[in-house]
Amino acid sequence: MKNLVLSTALLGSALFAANTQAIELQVSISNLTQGMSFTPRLLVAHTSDVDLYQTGVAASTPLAWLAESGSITDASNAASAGENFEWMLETTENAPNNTWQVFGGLLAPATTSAAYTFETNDMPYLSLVSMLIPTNDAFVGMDSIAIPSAPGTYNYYLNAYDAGTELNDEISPATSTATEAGSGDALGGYGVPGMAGVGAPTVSNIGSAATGVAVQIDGSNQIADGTDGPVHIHRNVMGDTDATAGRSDLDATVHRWLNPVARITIIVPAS
Amino acid sequence: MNILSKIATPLMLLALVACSGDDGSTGSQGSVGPQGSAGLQGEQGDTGAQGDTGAQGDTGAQGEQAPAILNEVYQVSITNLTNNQPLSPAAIIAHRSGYSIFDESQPASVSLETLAESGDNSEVLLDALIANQYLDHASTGLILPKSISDTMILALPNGSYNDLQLSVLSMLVNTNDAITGLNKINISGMNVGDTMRFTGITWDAGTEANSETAATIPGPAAGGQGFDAARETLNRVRIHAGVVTMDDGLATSALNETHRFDSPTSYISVSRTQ
Repeated sequence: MKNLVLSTALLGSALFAANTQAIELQVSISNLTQGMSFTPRLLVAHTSDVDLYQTGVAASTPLAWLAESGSITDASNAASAGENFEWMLETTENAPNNTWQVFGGLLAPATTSAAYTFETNDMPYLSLVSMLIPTNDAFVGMDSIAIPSAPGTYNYYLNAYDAGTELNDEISPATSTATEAGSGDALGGYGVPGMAGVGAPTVSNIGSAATGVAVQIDGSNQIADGTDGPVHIHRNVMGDTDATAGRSDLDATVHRWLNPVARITIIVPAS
Repeated sequence: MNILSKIATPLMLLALVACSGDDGSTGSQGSVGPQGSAGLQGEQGDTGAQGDTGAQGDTGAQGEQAPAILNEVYQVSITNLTNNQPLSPAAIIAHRSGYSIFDESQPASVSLETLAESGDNSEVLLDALIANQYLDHASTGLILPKSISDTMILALPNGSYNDLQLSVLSMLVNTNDAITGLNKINISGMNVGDTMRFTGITWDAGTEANSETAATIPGPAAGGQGFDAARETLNRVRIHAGVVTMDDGLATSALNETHRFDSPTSYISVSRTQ
């Protein structure tokens, strides 16, 4: 079976490059925070023509969907169809230049994922993104590392980024009655203020009645949907020490982090 | 087993040289002597046979030269990069792959808990001493904020190991259980004269809740209790989230804004001198 898989991949790759071999990586990810969970992880092997994000550059719409709501595929969120990473990576232009996979399930604080088997299809670079919940638009990212070719185990520490597509109000939509200024929409995921993921099973210590950190609820119980891009290193959540008042619904003793927030371990098997 | 085979090979080569030349035989045998003691560090009883070869070396005055050829010597120093977090005496351990003081996302050992909560590195060092992969260790004194430790020496049996690793661990003493250093970093392949430099991130040992109360902070900021056998709920090693402090809203904290830190909290310099 293994030989069959290998030879099929080799035939495929022979169309593009005669001298390369398919590499089947074993990849595992550790969540090194004490209070943040990771949404399903998007792992992409790609050429230099594909970029999931770039610091100092405004986030793409697919990155905004990932960072504000954890959405990657149509199946995970139908509303993201045509605007998510699945769409971006499968365009006629991008599809020949990448291969991708989503590794599902929430990754709880201070836990390590199972080892994922990932076929790189000879693509030279590897990138990863996953949202940190509960936040407004924080994500852990690995941007275009060169995939090692020598057999061995490789570790990389990863930092948390702010997608910059939503202000970090740190308000829980589970209890807040505030709405988005102008539209009147409820707070929550993509395109509106408020954090995402506060109700996830691996998330705890969410407060209520916060007035807002980077932007505040106004006198008519509305909050503006601003941005603070381009993509940059996240300045960490603020939190506070009052679960039923204060500016944040996060707990300063639980949800804060310092970089790095994750470690990715890549095993390149002996050929 | 690898240590044994690595050591046995040069011994055999030396023995061949000793047998092949009349004039040079005394000198060559001399260097075999210290090699025998290197075999003892390999922890395998089987090296005794090689030790017999070493006994021949007693006749060679040139045996004195052997350590320069057969030992690898490394110098290690640690810089405390924090503003107001003294670092406890750092455990410095040279070892081969397969050993680690801790693994991220896993519960800490009691030995690590002792280091992380009280700054006492003795149990971590004892654990290392009995590990098959152990090569050598050193311990610094207290490293004050914004200062550099004494330079520590690690002397390793010859081997040119391709899996030589370094672990360094120290507590930020004005915390509940924050630690910094290096976790099984590969330093193999260094030539004499080479220096490798690393920055140390900050882990939370995950053994004691970060209450920051005076009763639980052993450092000069509070003078509280060190080791406490009770474990916190999230009992796994992770990256430290930093201290909140009384100046940032945690009224029960004994710490103030001067005790805050960001990663990295330590800087480690490793130089090979022999």
